[in-house]
Amino acid sequence: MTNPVDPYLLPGLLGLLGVALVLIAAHRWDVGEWPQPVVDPDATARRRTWIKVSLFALVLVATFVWAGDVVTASSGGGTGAGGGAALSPGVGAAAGEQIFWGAGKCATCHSVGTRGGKIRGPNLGISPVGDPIGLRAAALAAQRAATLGRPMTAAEYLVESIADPSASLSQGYKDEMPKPYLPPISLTPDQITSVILYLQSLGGTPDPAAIHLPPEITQAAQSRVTVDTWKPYLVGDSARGHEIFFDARGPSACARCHRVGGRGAGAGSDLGAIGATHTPRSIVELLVGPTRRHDSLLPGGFVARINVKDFHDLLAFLETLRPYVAGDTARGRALFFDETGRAACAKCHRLGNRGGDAGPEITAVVAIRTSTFLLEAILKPSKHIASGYQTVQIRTNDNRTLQGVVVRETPDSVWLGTSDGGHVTVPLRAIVQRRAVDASLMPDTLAKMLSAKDLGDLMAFLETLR
Amino acid sequence: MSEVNTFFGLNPRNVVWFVAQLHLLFGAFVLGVPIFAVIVEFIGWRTADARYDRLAREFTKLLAAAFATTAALGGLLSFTLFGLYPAFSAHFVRIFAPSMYFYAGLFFVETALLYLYYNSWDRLQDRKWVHLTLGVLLNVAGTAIVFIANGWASYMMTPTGVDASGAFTGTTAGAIANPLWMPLNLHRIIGNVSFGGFVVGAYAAVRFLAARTPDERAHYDWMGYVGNFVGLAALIPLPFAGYYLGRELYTASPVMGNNMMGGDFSWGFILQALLVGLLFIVANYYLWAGMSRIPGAERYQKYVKYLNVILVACVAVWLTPRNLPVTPEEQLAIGSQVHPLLGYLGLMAAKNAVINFIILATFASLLLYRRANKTDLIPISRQGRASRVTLIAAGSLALLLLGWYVAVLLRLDLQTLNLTPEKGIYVRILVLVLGLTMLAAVVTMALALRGRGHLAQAIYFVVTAVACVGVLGVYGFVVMTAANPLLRQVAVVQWLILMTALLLLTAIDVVLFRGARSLGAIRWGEVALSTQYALIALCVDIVLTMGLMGYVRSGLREDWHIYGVLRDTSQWAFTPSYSTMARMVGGITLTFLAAVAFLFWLASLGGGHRGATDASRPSAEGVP
Repeated sequence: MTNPVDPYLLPGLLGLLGVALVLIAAHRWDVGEWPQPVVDPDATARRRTWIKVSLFALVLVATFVWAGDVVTASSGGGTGAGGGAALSPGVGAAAGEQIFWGAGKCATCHSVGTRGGKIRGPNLGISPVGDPIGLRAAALAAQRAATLGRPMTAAEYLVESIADPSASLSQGYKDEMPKPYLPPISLTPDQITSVILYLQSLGGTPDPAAIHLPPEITQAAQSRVTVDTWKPYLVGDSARGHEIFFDARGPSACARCHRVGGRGAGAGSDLGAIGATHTPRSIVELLVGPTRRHDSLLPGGFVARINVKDFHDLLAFLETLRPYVAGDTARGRALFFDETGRAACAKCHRLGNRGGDAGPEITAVVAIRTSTFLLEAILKPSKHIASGYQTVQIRTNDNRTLQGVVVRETPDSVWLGTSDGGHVTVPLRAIVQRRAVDASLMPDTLAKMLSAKDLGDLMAFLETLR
Repeated sequence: MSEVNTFFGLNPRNVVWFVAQLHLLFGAFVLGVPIFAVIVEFIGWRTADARYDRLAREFTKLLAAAFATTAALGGLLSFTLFGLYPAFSAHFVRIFAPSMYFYAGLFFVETALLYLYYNSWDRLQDRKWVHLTLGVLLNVAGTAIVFIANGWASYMMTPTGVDASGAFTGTTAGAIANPLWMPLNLHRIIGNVSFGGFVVGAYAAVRFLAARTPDERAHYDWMGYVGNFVGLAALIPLPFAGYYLGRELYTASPVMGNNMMGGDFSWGFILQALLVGLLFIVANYYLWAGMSRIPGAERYQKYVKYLNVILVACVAVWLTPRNLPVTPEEQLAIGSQVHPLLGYLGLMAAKNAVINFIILATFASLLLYRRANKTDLIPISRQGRASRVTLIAAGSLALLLLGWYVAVLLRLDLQTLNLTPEKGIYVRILVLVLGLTMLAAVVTMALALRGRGHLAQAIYFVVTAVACVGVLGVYGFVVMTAANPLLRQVAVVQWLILMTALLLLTAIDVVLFRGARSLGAIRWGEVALSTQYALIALCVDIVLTMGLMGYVRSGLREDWHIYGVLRDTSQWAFTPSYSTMARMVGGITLTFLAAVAFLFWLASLGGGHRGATDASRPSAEGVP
């Protein structure tokens, strides 16, 4: 991937050079190295002054613009925080993860292990102060139950901590967490359930049946449904949108980066199935950015360049892109379960009662993820790592370095699931260093090892699991 | 009613942004310049120095055209809001209609006072206090206008009087007096004074660069100095006003507060640090370079390099982001998403410490400049009682301020901060630091009264630097992890110690150099041309800063017209990227500067360059 800062480097350096030249010019003039004007001195001096001052102001402003570009490139690209991440529909831990790190704004206060850097709220992952929240919730629920004088389950504790954050506070933290179902966050009941499932998945097992939201959350959602329903205010022309998409010299020039149906360049993502995987609103959000920073990934000023009519036509065209994923499901099944084959998914992923446990159980993934996401997860496994399946690197006292997923942890040992589908048990006393790694255990070589037909078949098989 | 309309195919949000920001800049100009003019006129009256009077008049003359432009832009802003966002405007008018009539009425009053103030200048030369009273009334009217507009803007961020269903059930006055109103008023007023000073500085710089005679150069050099001095003096408390605004915003809405400092807008504050850091560095550079025109200043030049190192290092820390997106490989290498060392510099505790240090270093520059041509001090024992009274009053006030906060801390109910009683130790440490600073203040005052002013200043400088930056800077990290809610109290203690330092050290300096012999007159006009570009850079920089902070303030509402109450459901309801912001703010800045240059030219048509050519060469003792 091209470094996003590069395009701004040259103008930036030119800007700085400009500032330096103006300062040098001012200095040299000052020490009398350049001749003073002799003809019509007043008018010439004024004119020159205005030119120099205007140039100087222009250079300063240009440098500021360059700084803005650098910040956009530095803070927006490459982390999935920008417009590239697909929005998962439905309820589930994966959707909850996206909400936690996005619209729910949980991550502006909480970190999860080494992910995120915020300390205003308790760390909800493995941290120096304790286990991840999915494990810790049971103990916290027990403490809370003792205070209340009535039993409380771990799920009830998590529900209470979101529905009524002031009810019990973690020691050392202020009572300042907002109720996320109220404005301005305004999460829906499904979104809140998803976040709780995500929290449960951090060291524990998501349990949707245990989650019962209090009525005020549902009521809050119902009371604002009339004002929070988004719809485009123009009906677009999809045929014209098609022209706009492929018009290389047009204001949007989408096909210069994106492909649809085999047409277009390949630097951006393939949008051939976007109509199937996204709602109209989420397409708009992709265009303007789910974090509302549209041009952090799209070229600078994309939305500013395109007029309202074109925007809606383009939107109408993208909504029509709902291709059927063709493929041989039987062959896809074979590829999945053949542990000596090219894909060998079952080495690490369980389906029914078959398969390993170093990766997520596959029906749970398929149920909540879009086709685009699944394809991306196969080809770029490190882009989105499922909760609870973060790779851990362990260094032992005999200088061995092990890498794997923590499948089980006892008071004495850690069981690591490794990339070959096997297990390694490491005694706790032998561990010298342990740290999370942000790269998936799943190999990123499948794009090379699988043919297009293999991928199509595998995807077709996975689609049958929905 | 349609919710949003477009402006000839243009993005309506950008149209409103452009017009609103331009209106705000002109508003700041017509508010900042009268404040500047009245201060300068007052100095001229009290010092019997006619240059100040001329300077005040020269700038008041600009106001008529600027006033009309501001009003025209205000009208355009109203029309664009009504035309492009009719649903929002209708909602807004329902709440604020009474205040809008009052606003328009005040505009008439301000216009009348402006013309009265300008046109009575000659007539009231012998009754200066009456003229100054008119100037003050003009500023009162201007301030009232901006206070009303601030009420509208701040309501959009922290609305009050709204029930759970989003319906407005409060009063207009209640909506204006929302939690962010007064912090925004304070921040804007101080900011406008600084802005006015730097605009005057830039005007003087341009005239200096085009000047053809030594007299003209001397006049505009002096004018630039006055502009920079006022701008810098207001810039010193500005970070505190900004901190207060941010703190109240955080209190009103932790969601917005977190988004501001730790979310989408945290990078806005890195850009702000860049711009405000540059303001301090360039303003200091101007002072240091200006010392070349002061005989005897070479004695203090050696200290400049240390101040420079402090400023640059502190700005570097201020610029350090907490969260820099890292690749998996980078994360693997550093072991987390945050750099093990630089990550700490990105936290508020570090930034508070360095901002205090920057202000202290800038203050040191001002003191060096002030004493540059002075020698043969008169011992305090040979000065009159007034000197001792001045010292004792300043010292007592410093002790009173510090003592007051000790009392506040001792009465602090930890439960209100969700802290357990054992966390009281962290409060007691703050009390101890304040107590030791009070002791240092007493020692400083005693030394100054015994004629050891230099030593007294050095001691309090060191104590302030150690307490604010060294001790409380590090302590901030401890509190952040052990008793996070107390972090605000740490910041207040840092601010109070610094304020007492500014108070006490200024008082000692005034007494110390009272009646001192001058080593020679200030050679106004004999200054490097680069200093004039520094003045222009300050003006461009502060306009960019205002544009950036306008983007942050409005952007914090995300996709809400009125935060949490009225949502913008159009497709333009996104926060533009910093890239877009920089282009937009850059365009607004250039438009504003061009418009102001045009106004200056318009104003010069009537009176030619009389102000410059009539200016007498400034005297040696003309440092305000």
